Amino acid sequence: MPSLQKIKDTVINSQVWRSMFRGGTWKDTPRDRAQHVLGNVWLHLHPVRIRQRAVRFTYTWGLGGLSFGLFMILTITGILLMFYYRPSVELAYRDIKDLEFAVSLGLFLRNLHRWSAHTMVLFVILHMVRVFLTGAYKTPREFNWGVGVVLLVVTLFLSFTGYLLPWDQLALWAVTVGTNMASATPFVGAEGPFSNLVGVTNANDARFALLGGTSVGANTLIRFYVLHCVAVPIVAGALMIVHFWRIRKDGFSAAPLPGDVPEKKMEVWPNLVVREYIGAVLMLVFLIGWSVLQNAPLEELANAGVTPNPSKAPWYFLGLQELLVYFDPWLAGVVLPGVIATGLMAIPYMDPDPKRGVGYYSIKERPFANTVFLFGVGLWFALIFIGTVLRGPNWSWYWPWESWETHKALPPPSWSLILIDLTDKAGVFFNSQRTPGIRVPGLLGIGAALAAAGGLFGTYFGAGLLLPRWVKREWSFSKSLTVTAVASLFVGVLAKAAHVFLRSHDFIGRNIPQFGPTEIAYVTAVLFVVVVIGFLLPQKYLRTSPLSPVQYVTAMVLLLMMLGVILKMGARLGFNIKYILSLPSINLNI
Amino acid sequence: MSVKEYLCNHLFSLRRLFVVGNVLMLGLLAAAIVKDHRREWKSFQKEFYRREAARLKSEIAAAPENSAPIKKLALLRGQGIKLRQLMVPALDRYDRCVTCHLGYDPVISPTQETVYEDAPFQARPNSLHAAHSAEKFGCTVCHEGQGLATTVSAAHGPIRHWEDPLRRGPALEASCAKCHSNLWDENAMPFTKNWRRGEALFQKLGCIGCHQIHGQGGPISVDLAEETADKPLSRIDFSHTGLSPEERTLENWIRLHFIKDPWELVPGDPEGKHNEEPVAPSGMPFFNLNKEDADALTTFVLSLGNDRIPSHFLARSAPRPTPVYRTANERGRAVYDKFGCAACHAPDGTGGVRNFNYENITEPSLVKMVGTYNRDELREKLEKGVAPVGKKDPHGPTPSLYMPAWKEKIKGQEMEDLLTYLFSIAEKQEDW
Repeated sequence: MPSLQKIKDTVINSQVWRSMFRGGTWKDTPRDRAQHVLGNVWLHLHPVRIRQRAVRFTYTWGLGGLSFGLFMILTITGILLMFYYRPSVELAYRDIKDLEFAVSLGLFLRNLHRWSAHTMVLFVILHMVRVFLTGAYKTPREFNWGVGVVLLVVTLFLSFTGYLLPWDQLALWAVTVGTNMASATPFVGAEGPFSNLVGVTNANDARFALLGGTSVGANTLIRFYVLHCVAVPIVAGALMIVHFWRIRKDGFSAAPLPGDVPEKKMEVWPNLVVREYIGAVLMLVFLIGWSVLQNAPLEELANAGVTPNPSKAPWYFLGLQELLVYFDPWLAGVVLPGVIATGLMAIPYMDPDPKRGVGYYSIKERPFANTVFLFGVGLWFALIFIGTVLRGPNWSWYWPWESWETHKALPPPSWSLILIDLTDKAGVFFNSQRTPGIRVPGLLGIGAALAAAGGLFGTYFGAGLLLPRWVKREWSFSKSLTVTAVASLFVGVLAKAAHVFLRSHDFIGRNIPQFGPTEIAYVTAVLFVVVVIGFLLPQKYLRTSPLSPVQYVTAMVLLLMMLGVILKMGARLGFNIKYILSLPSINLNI
Repeated sequence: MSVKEYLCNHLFSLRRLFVVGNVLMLGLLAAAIVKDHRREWKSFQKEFYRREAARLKSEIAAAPENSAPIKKLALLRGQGIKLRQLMVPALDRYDRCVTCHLGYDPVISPTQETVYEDAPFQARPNSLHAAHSAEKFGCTVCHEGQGLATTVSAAHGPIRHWEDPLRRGPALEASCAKCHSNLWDENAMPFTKNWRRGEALFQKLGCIGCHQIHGQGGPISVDLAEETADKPLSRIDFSHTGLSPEERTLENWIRLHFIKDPWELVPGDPEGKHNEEPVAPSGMPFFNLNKEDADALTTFVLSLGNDRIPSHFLARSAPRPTPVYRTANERGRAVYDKFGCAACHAPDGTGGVRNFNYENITEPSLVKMVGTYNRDELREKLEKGVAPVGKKDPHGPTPSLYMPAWKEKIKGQEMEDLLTYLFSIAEKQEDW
């Protein structure tokens, strides 16, 4: 009986085997291993040798490769599902039921597809976080970071278009909520501002193009089917080719460390390939286990006449849906996501030192960039958490231990700080849902309101931009944190005192019925976060950085907008301020 | 050896991860296949074939010259374990019930009969099945449940996200109304006696005084045919029903209205805690029916639903004969029933139905009140109605019940007959 080794040698040195893999007889020399990577169309996406640091699992966590692996799993399971699924409103739901009850492995296939899709969205986001933390977006990889941001958006859109296909209540209403945001786009959305100026109605706006109608229906299903199965995967595939090719051309991010430290290199075959394989296998173990244990959701047949309460978008859009509480839909659903995506793409071009902190986790070298970025990611997931877990019927706040069946008492009426009424020509201050506030009629009122709004926003952005560069003192960071905390608490107590003093005024007593320890804590916490992230950090790190004025202003405006969301959330959740500034005639509600 | 080194190079060495990962992956894949392969229905089919084979073999042994059991055994052996379904595209029904209920499968059991007493193998020929062949009608168009499903719980329900669980007991009669419009006819439709009992109760209790059926009826509450009978469960607030999640069906929701106090079932928001304005509890009287009556009335309400049956399935029947009344009093009583006056004023006209936050607490007794009017005054009162009625607590909710204006509905001879009837039951007033 020949040994296993002998059989292996005979096979891989046979004429048949060698004809498949270029390079002649296999002697397992470094030359053979290099040739194996170079001579193989799939493997030559990799270099032949790579720094040991880059091979480490905890450097990349395998997230980019696993995202691609998930795309492959989704392609394979998706093609198999396409054999059974017919995209028509009469048949789609029944075909999904058939997958569950009649098709061999049909339920498993659908579970695997569903759970892989969720995992892919998560992994793509985490991959972006990893790339940021290791400085892998810096020169010469700026463009590939941008391609990555587009790929993230494409991934979300891929998942979103697939959401409709089961044609159940979950699908119909998630897509209804998601696509409603398109109708809030300025100019091209029927509900968005200025749409009437260009003759856009609900029968020719952006949402109509997406839905193939004025509501989610048969046309939407076929549109989403084609987008999901053909159009978006082609775009994603094309962009992935660019993405991978640029990684090879720009060089993998575990670049030479500063000072040309000599580093050990490893052969990609087999060192990296086996790690990639193990990563993929472990992920499959997780996904197959998940698919065996938990079934993908399938609710009642889609029914446009029955709106579930609450109707929720897919989880990765619930942060945006939660933002609808705080801002007008065109700001929350169009402008803010647009700013987030373009802001992300702009990050590599606002970098003061393209050489600093590349190729390793560089928290110490880049404290400002990393803190702000992680803060933004945390805010995004916090919004998703609120929208997913804490919002119940009527989008009311429900703690996880509260049943959605408990009827919630009406919230106190919300109010607006400044309202500009262009139709009746007046400026209104402290206007409440139930009772009118202080109304100043005529152009004088409008002027006063504009001045107040301009003052408020001007002070916020002006001070936010100027103070970090203007205050020249060097502080010890821990000491300034303590001072900020104490000062924030002081402002909270001061606000309480002001409330006691002003409560006799009708509009204050009505709009803020109580101001207890919770409210003081609210003011303190929000102020602390805003001052630390918005002032102390940039004062310490951006003041002396070689950012150009344009770079500095862009970075700070993005930062201040992010903190503005926090401030607005605090105002809404803590004090029922629906809008700081409301200009209903053009839907400008902030 | 440091912890890190132990973890990376020993406990989770590449070789180990490679081996364990592959084994786990293949193992889980095998588990998925095994789980998929071991479906509930297969064991039922195997058991059925086992029992039938044993029974037929003993029959053959007892009477070897009889060819019928031999043929039957050969037929069964040729079938194999497979999904079986009745496909009725005309009704959009694809029923896999016969996968387990093999006694009703047209191929396996053309006589629709088995010798077994236990589910799912029991099958008895009955005249209703004989009149509605399985090939033409399927199962779920009458029995409801989830025909596409192949597990016991998903097929029969109640189960989340499938709102038509199996109809059992009297409620099954409601399905007859999908095609038959003569459920009232005890000669033609002897099986629908619960429905008839329900319809009689519906008329006696005056439900139509507040509810409508396809737009016909009083304006106070919902249309039972358009809204209630097909109500999606997500529109129902089950929080005051005391039903456990698996009992939350439309049938139970309707039935509870007859056996539980509607003020508890639909308490509204009388103090205005959850709404801008206070909302009165349900205006429905507390009927407190016994089980049989509640089931019968539930069956009647369910039968009002619309299942979009193609017209060629609808059964033709003779129109319902209009009853003949001899006296004005009898005709007036019929008008009283037709418009559901009993809902508020009781079947005998003594009133007393409660009305939340109504200034007089309960609805007036016609027996006591009618005598205080003359005929013209009473006619005007009926034609104009009383809406809104006075509130006891001016800040409380608007009372649910009120007297609608009947001018457009009760006219001419009907009105005169009704007036005659009302004066006939009224207490005579002393002349002053």
